[in-house]
Amino acid sequence: MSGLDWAVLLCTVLAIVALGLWKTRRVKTADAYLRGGNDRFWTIGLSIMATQASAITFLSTPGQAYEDGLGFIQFYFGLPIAMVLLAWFVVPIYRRLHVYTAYEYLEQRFDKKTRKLTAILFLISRGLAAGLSLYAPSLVLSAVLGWPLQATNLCMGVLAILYTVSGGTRAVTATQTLQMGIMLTGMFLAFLFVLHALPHGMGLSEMVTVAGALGKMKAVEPSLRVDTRYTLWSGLIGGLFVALAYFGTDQSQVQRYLGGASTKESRTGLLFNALVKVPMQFLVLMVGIAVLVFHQFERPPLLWNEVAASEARKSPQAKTQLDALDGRLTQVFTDKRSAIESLLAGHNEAKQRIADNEKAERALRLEARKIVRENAPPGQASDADSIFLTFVLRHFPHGLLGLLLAVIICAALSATASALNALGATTVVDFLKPRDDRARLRAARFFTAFWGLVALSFAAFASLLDNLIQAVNILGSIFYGPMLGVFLVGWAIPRVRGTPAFVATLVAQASVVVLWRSTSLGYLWYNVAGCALVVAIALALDLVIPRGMPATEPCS
Amino acid sequence: MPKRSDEGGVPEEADEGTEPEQSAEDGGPLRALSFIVLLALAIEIGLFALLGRAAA
Repeated sequence: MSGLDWAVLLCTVLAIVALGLWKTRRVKTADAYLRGGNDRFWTIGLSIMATQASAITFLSTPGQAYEDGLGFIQFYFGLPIAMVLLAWFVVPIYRRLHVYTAYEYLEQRFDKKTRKLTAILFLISRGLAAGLSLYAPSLVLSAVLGWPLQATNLCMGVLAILYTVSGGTRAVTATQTLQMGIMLTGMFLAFLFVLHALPHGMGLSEMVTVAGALGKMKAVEPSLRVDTRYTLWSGLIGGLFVALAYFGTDQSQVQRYLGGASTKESRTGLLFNALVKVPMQFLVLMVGIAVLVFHQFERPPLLWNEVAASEARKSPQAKTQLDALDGRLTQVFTDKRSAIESLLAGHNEAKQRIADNEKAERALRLEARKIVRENAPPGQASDADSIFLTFVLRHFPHGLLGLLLAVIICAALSATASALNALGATTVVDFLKPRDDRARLRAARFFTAFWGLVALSFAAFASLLDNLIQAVNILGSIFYGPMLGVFLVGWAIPRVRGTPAFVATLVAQASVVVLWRSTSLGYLWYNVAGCALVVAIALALDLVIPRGMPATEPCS
Repeated sequence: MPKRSDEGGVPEEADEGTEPEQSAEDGGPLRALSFIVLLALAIEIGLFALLGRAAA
């Protein structure tokens, strides 16, 4: 990294922190701190997008397109439908009740124990995820740039804690607008740069032709097969469930649109997100496609995570095996490049040769990664997650490199800040409830800092866990299903009372844990199972418990 | 007081009169914007499908 890159990176990060502190210097009430306030729809929309876009989104999504093509875009097809449903049916409920947290609604709809149960589920899952949103980018940044892992964790964590504790929701919203602007600008410039770096005479059309021959341009898979991870139907249906749960019940998102100047602004903010999200993800995926096509003309490395590769090469046997694979990659690359040049010269029959070589290259890479897994110490960043950052470091000009690193750090800060803000608010509003406004504000600041320290501690020890990302994804899926279930019952089935909803949530949560421990069901299905169980059990119990009996006991 | 779980049902307004609620004039633009969102999604899916077919 040059001095210019450091200057761009540091100026961007410091500008964000300064903006967060300056814009919120007049936050003197708990209401302003917890709810923010008077945001217009574009601020809400950008804040929602910035909360969802964690650093790993920008690091691993281009890598995913490089490896598997555009199919991942289908995961987002359910999101616009969820935004419309939430804007029409859920935002007015939250706004009418003037709640600070989503879980407050459950007390007004059901009872205190249901509110506290869901708030606890949120604190556990989001508390751990906040640590991951710091740890995951630090792991990749340290692997590729050689930065010390714990120091990177600490720097990003302290910066996020600093302005979130100071200004609460207002600081998070104000900084996220700038952060999202930087992220979108950075990714758009990255795409233009990679397109420009393709061999002379190649433009967008030729890039699409080559990516198509490599089998990476298939964005829509209409197959009904349930064992294919991303299809049109799993995206529309599964994606709808995930988006309803995330945007409708996760306080880190609900808090973003509760700060709207009016119900209309909150609703329009959600619909703004619905319009922009799919094109934005497509842009990020196309950056990965452009990097892939670039590497059809310049030989790519066998392994992108050089730190893990050099660790594995310390074993003489692994080194010999990796060197042999490297030699075979050169042959495959040379043959594939000549086939691509034939295709671009108008010889369509070269497509089969390209597809065969692509398959061979993939097999070589999988074999190399297996060798690394067996020989490098555990806790390495995944090879696919390292593709984009390694490319950026090797090829981007000075200045743009600094901007791209700023994009990644902005994303880490925005996701972490939203999480800390929501965790602090939920702790104070749903559990402590100080009556005095000053005590409330003080407690909110204290618990935002407290959750920041919890996230930092989790990030510090996360390297001890093997397969961390999968562990946290499983954890999230275990909690999301029952959480969506109880909210769905609240929103859509007016006859169900508090105790049936509470018991159904507990039973469904326990059942999902049993499913996780005793079956090999794919973890994404926990969301559907948990949600369906809550709805079914709550309906059944509501029929069983006579109407005359008190279904809700006072609960303090 | 908002209606609670004892009798089921959606809670009533917690604090009347602090915010003008969903008015008839909000409904029109919201309906139009929702339609645009869903239409945009359909167009995007169609374009992605066409792009994949053209590039194959």
